[in-house]
Amino acid sequence: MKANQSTLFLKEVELIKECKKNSYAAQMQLYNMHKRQVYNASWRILKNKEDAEDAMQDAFIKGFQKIEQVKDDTNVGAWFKRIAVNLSLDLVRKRNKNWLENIDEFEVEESVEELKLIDYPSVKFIKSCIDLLDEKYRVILILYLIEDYNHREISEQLNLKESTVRNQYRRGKIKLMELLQKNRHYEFKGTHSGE
Amino acid sequence: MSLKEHIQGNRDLLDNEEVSSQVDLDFANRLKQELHIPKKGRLISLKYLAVAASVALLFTLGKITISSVNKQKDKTQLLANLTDESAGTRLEGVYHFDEKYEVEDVQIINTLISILHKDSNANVKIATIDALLKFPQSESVRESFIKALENESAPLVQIKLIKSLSILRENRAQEPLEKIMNNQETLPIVMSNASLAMAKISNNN
Repeated sequence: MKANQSTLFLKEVELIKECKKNSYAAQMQLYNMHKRQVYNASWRILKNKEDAEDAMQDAFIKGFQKIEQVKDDTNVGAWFKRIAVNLSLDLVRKRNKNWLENIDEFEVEESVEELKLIDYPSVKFIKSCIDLLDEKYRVILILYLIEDYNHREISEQLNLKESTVRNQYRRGKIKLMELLQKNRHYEFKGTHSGE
Repeated sequence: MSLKEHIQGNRDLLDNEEVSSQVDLDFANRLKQELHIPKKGRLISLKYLAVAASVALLFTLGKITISSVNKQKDKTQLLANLTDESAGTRLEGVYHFDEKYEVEDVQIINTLISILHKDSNANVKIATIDALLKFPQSESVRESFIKALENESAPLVQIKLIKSLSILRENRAQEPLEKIMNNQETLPIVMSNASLAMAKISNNN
């Protein structure tokens, strides 16, 4: 496995070098290697197929235009995904100003214990519960839990105070935990993913 | 293990939406349009500037020389030869142009492009391609080569076009080259030339 991974990595390094020379073939290869993760990152935020497809394409085009900026050994898939997430958030800001402007600044106490689950449910199940949340929680939880943004980065992207993002995250997490506890039996009634 | 760690450790499982092949096709086209078609505006305006400067110089000097009159006669004869019924005469016309003409003449170029697309004789077409290669910067020449490659069926002409587009490092040739490579009726020698040209164009980008 390690040998395969290093071979793939070398191949990607070569592809990045070729993309810096504007090689169409190399660009299409990188697109095919990473389109799925980039598309899914946009889809999770936008929940609209056409918007997510546009954001994905825009991300790759923008990425190829700026690829000179990255080192040859960069995790370029993560880099394209970042661009796609940021573009998706631009669209969220444009189309859904209401929830961003009406966030309650009332602080949630940090001392609320994180509910611990004995067995972690499958990530797909967790994701389906996140999808049930209001957008004002869903977007922030997706960015923090799945896309690995920190609170400061989220605040910059959404034009919110960092304290507001932390509050929203705590509120969202509490609601998520409640959903997970409430709906667990539905997951385990069907096939157990065994993850 | 925290919830975030659990999710981060299994993140790949969340990418379960598929990208359709239509979207792939749209992206491929968009990539070509946005990053691989040379900008025409600057080239065209520079060319017009050059032409305008030449014309202004001629008028400032106020000379219409006898050699210019002879050139006009020569051009008329050339155009007549290029459109002659006899393939031999047309071929002679193309060779004459190739030897004697250094400056791009729109009328003659257009006539040669017409020969490239419509002539019934493969030798005339091949000689025409060589003649047009004298103007590698001409957008109409490049476009005519690409268009001709899309429609040409004579193997020797196909090979000539493929090699010429490879010399020109013309990215837009990739699509017709792919079609040739995917066509089962393509002769092996044409196929191998197309494949070499594709690799060269891709590597040179």
